[in-house]
Amino acid sequence: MSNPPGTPDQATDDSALVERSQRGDLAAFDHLVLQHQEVVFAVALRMLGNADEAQEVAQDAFVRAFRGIGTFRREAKFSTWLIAITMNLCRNRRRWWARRRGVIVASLDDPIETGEGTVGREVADPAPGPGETAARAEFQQYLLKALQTLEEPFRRVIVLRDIQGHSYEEIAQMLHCQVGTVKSRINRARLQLRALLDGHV
Amino acid sequence: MLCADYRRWFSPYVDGLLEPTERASVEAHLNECSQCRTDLASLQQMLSSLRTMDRPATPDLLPGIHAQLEHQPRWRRIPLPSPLDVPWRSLALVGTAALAAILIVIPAYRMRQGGVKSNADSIGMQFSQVSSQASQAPAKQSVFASLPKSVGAEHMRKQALFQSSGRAQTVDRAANRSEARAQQEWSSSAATAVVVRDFASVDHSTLPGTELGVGGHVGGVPASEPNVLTRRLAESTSSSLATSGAFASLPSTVSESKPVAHEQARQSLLAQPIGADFMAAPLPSDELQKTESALVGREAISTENAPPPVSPVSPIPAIWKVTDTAAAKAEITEWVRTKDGIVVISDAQHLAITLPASAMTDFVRRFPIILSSSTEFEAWRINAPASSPSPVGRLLPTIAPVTEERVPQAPAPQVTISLELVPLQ
Repeated sequence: MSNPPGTPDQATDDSALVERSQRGDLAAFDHLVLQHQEVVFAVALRMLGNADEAQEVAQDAFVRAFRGIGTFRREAKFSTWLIAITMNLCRNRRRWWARRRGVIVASLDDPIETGEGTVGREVADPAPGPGETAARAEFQQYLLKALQTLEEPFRRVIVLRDIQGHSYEEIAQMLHCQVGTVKSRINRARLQLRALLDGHV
Repeated sequence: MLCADYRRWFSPYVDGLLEPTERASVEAHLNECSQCRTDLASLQQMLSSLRTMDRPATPDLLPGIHAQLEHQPRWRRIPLPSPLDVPWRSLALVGTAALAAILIVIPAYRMRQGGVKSNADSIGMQFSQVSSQASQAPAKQSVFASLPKSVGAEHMRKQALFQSSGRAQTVDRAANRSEARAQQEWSSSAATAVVVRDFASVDHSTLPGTELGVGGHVGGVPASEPNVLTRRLAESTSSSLATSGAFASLPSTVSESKPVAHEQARQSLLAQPIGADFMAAPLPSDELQKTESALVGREAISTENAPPPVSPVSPIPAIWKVTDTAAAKAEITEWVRTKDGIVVISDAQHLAITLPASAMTDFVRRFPIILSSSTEFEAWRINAPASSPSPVGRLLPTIAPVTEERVPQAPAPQVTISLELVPLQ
């Protein structure tokens, strides 16, 4: 299920919490963590494909957000800013991998962690049968694996648009690019991903 | 359009971003093309799968975040204010104001000191060291001696005011000087300006027969201090007035030394606040009476906007007719040294002698000098002990009797004599 961020109420809450955090209120920042950790972790997991890595990156993102909250301009939503930080950390982590391994070798046949199975799932489908659930979990694993083989810019827009459900404008803010660039990237990313999933979708 | 062209529009089509005409065009094509319908359905199914992906179970991030933040140095745990939140404009305004204040105040202060300094330099005297004789009776500036009685009374009244204002007025001025110095600097200048203005009114009302040319002369004197009092004696002529501007450069000039009660006389002279405590000693009325006759002239009063004083010191001109100038020089130097005075030898025949005022009586007793200007000496004599003789000699026409007096900034414990040694033929 997508987690569209930023209902008006939450934005208002964020604004007050951010203001308190900017004055050094750690408790207020804890509230911000609790409100946004799900989204941040989900983005990190889908960008990295590894739950442990995603947890490290998500924690790091919050630590950096706290350090830099003084520089946060409240014109943007806090969640937008937070996801931009997370995206940068994910890219840095991928680059670190690339330097270590020389090249990223990802195959759709490799096993991949999804971070699922530990705690309850979204109750998306009412009363799915056991076979259906297994098939669905298998497909989602395959989907995530396919996502990891996409180029970084394409994976970003798929995660932000088609999984997290952000608008083009928000994505443009998060990725620091033009809306037109986002549009064309989404188009090409979807074509690429569909080609990867050909036969499974 | 080909199917491939339409398929590029599928992505914005599903996001609802196509223009109405483009949308209509796509839908028209989909009605005709089954392949494109399948293609679009495939895309929509993929997107649906992505959107309905299960949310991952989120671990609790707070402990890890707290652990990381606690390992930070303390200063990193405190969020810094955004550079955008800092009121740069206000800070810039404050900074500019502070800079402007510095640029204005410091030169003004220097100008104030520099004005006095240049005057002191123009005297041509080298005050290397003048010892403090603060406990001695303060030397009275001749300007007060020469005041008419009525003015003296007025002056006494003001003096009482000054004394009540707590400025250094005690006999031991040296003790009080340092603490009173700062406030004297400003308060006294304002106070003295009142006196100066009174002098001016006296000048015009009670001293008839003054020359208009004097006023012109005063206007030409560079003085910016409000408490500058310039005075001209009546015997001075308009031609001598012209020389008064260059008065200090004369080899033999009339001077009464500036009140200095400081270890480093020159430094303190330069920094001496104007009008500090020159009215410390009361002016005996009988002396006033006596000197009133000497004052045939008038005081030329500067305005409050007048430029700074040219000279805080006016030496007393004197001559000494001697057979051997070198011997006389040596004799005077030796004697003055015993009195803690200073002798500056200008040239073969001119000496600048700075003496404690108390030693002046002994000096005129000891040496048969002729004071060329009775007025200056009278001025000194008022403060001298009553027993001091009055060795007033003849006035020498060669020495300009014109002097320009300043309101002293503090009583002078020193007297400066500009002595000319005249060889006897």
